[in-house]
Amino acid sequence: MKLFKNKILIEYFEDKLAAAGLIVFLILAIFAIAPSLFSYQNPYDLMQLYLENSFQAPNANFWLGTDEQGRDIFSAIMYGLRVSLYVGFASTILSVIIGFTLGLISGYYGGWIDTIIMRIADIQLSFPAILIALIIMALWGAGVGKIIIAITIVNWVYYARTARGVVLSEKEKDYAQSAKALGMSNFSIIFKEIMPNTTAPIIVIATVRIAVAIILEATLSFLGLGVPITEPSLGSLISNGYQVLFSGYWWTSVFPGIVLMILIISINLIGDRTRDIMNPRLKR
Amino acid sequence: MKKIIMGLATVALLCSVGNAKTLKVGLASGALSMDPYAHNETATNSILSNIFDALISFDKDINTHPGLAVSWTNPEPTVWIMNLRKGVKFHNGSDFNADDVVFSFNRVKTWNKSGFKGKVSAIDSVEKIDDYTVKFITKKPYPVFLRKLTYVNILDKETLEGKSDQWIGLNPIGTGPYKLTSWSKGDHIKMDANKDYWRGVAKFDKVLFRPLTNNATRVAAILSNEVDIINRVPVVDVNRVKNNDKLNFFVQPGLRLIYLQMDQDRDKSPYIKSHDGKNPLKDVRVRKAIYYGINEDAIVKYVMKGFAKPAAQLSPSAVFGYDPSIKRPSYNPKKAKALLAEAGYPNGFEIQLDSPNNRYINDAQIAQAVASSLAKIGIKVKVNATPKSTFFKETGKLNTSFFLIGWASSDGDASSILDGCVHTYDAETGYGRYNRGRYSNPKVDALIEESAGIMDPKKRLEVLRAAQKLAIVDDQNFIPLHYQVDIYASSKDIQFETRVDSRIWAYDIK
Amino acid sequence: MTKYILNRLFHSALVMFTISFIVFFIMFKAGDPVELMLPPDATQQDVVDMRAALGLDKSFIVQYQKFLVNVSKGNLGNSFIYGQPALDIVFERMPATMELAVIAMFISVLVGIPLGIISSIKPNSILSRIIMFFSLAGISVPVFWTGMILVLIFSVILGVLPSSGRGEVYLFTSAFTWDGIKHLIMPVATLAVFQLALILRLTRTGMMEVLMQDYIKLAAAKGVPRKVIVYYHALKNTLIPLITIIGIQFGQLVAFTIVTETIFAWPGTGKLIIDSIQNLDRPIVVAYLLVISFIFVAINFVVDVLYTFVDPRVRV
Repeated sequence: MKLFKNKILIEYFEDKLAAAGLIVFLILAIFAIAPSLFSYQNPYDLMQLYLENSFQAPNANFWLGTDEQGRDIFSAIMYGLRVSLYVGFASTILSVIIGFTLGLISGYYGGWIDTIIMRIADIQLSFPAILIALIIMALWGAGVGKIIIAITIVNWVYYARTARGVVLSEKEKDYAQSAKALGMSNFSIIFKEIMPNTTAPIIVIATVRIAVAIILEATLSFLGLGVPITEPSLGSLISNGYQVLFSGYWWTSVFPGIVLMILIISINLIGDRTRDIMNPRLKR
Repeated sequence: MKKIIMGLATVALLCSVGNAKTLKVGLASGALSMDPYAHNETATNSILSNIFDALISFDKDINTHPGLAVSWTNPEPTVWIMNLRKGVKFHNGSDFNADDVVFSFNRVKTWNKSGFKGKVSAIDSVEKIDDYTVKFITKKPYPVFLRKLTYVNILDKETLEGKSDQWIGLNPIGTGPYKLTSWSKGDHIKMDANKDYWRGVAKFDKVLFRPLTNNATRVAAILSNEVDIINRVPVVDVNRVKNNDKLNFFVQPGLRLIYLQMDQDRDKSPYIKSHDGKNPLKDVRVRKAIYYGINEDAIVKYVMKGFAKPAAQLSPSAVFGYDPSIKRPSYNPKKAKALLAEAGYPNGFEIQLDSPNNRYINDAQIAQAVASSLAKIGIKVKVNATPKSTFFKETGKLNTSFFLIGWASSDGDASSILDGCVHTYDAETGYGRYNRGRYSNPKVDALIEESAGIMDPKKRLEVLRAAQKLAIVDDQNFIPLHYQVDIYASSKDIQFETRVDSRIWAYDIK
Repeated sequence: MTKYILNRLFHSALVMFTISFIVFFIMFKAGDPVELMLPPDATQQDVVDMRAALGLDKSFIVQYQKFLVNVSKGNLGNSFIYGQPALDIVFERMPATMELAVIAMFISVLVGIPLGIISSIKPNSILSRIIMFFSLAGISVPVFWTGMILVLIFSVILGVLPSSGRGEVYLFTSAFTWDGIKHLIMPVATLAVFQLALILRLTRTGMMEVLMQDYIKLAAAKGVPRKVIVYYHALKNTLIPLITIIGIQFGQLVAFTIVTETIFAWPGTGKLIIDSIQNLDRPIVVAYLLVISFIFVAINFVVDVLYTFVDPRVRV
């Protein structure tokens, strides 16, 4: 296994652009994990906010300017990154666990379980993701936990379908058949034998869906239906700034927007490269 | 050659005079229906005021004037005889007479979807005396009778009798200065001048109202000359408008008070965490501490960019009931902390402030600024800003301890806020429907009820002021923040004057 | 074959029914708009009366039953706010949204497929790498950000394009008037960027996979001209899954018009739905969702059936 991993990493780094993407992402992740180390103030601690600092353009005190309540935009971006990444990853992990499990069970056991789960998936897929999430959030109210759940509800389907597809083809193969003949329990077969073969396709899908999850959260927050104002993500920062963008206070919206773009581009670069490496049909 | 040029110039001049001039107005929100009784809200009322007339009209300072009623008498305290204007025709040629008045008032009182029942609740009956005379009987002597009449637009009985609600909602037939020619919800409202209008034809042949709900869009529209007037200029864009030499900008003190309500009723309030487990808001000293502890001047300066008037009482100066002797004390965090300590909360407490985020000008931002202020005196505030649908639903269920809300005294009389928000809640009579902190002081209730029947304005003013003083100065039942200010921008090519009631009446614009 | 079609039809109907139930239920839970609609001086009795007038005082089952009965007659109820039939209001605004979606999709396909082909033939050339980078940026930027930046540059700074609204309409669409086109450029660009990038990448990957196949190598060895290989053999096999994806993506596109319409104050259904959700105007929300799901279900149905004709491996 170790040798296997190294080989992938080496091949990954052959592409300079993807390497850059990985490094940028790691930097952003560090900012997100410990924003207090890098920011000037905790913009969500009301004791540190002073209205007198409202709407200052980028200057020596506030490198990227301040918003209406006197919040330092640089600090707000650090904390916002945390929320954006937290929501994106948490919802992806949840979607993977739920979708994966349901897909595996559905594919392996077949029958009416399969029918029900796939019917639900079909119904959901006939519907654009953003609409589902929008309605859920509009009526449930803003909240970090709520939006994680909403995005999970939207995304599990993709993982389920993939897992199911793989299981369907794998369960007929020799190794699975022989495990069954040897008397292994179904549970063990699914999770010990078949699952390792599904990780590759899941990773491929996940790399696409993480970026989608982050964009979905940003879009919902932009519409005011995502995270609450007391815990803003990059999307809500952009939204707040948008109100005053054309009035001349461009820094409140443009800087968070640039950071969001860089974040997603880096994730996509990583994802692209990983997919190219793992796609057997592109092997030269 | 000269003759030809002169000739052409004259023709051009004649053409421009006879040209259909269109007034284009960019609005913060559009009309919800063309049925004047369906929605009692400012934007719809404003647009429909161009199509309909009422018996009494408000001028721009909300003083009453004859409208479709030319004169009236008040022979007994509860009887009003209105003499109607003769020779007025509806847009479809139908005559205006007493039948229409009776029809209109009956509909506004009894139609199950009427949004104006509250305005006419004091009217007991409406009777036709002859074709141009109508008798109103009120349940009790009603000093604000004439003001309430301004809200009932007169409909044409002949045309509307028997028509469905849906039809009425799409086909407004009024007596007003403009007729509706086209309505695309959320996109545009087009009107043509009524050539037979009883006040004389309007200056503009056509009016185009465009709902431009997005603030930036609306400002962009006036800056690029796509419209001639906009209302609700966002405070952050005032400088751009001011610096544009093709535009005038207007600041009109409005009628809407933005204030905070507090739960003064429950011993355990759902969103408060205090060291002794009790509800600190029940103690007047805590309420006063909050009042002294909010830096309203900073809020006005930084959040409203100077475009709000700090408030110390319930009624702005244009409203009957205003008391010039009540002044707002300066921001005093030291005094606030001392009061909190006196009341037993030297380290403050935790509380949640609920606020809408899409109802009032900069509502969520004001709430955050309030929270920021209170943090400095030890009260840890968590702001919960939600869309108005959620906000009104939750606060309506009293699922709140502390919230930001607004009230517009659009009648121009203090009775509206006193009846609706200050009086003890009484489900039967409808008093205190918006008193969601459940403030209750029987002395104040007595004064409010007394004032409802006093016909002498001087005496009534005294009683209204006494009620207000008890409630807000002695009891600090609310925390007043500021009065909203309406900001308009208009092209220098037109003559526009703003109105206290936030309406845009195209007839007055030249 | 008929059995398959009937099966899909039944499936589609089931989807529609389930969606209507879920949406109705959610909106029912969200509460009624009476509180929002009535002015502050209304009494408690007025609230009760209005609720009864709108039929909101009955239980969920009764209300849903009434709804189903009405639907069978083609009536989706009257908007609580506007008082007009909800379906009419949704249809009134549909053309504006469809206009954006169709034109954006058209442009995405027209530009995305050729660019995808170009970048797949010589994947490591400079041109390809540039195209790939821009396509990556395209799918990384949220729709609202694209819109914002476009307005900032072209309306605020340069002042050459109008920042909002729809232009003059002629024959149901605003694409035939110059004023209309000026208003269309930015919203369409906003929508198209993401789609274009996506289609480009899918075409590229699809083409690259196909070009690796043995039968392509065989054709090249046999001396079939390059152009024929690429544009005929490879493209044909890439197009099939691509068309499926485009069909599904159209649905996404319509959903993203919600964001675009908000930014550009475009009078379509997207803006209507946001406002209606805010105002708790249930009939419009339900009507809109039913119409949208009908469109998707119809597209899925058509694609499913077409697939059986087009791809010989999929036999019913």
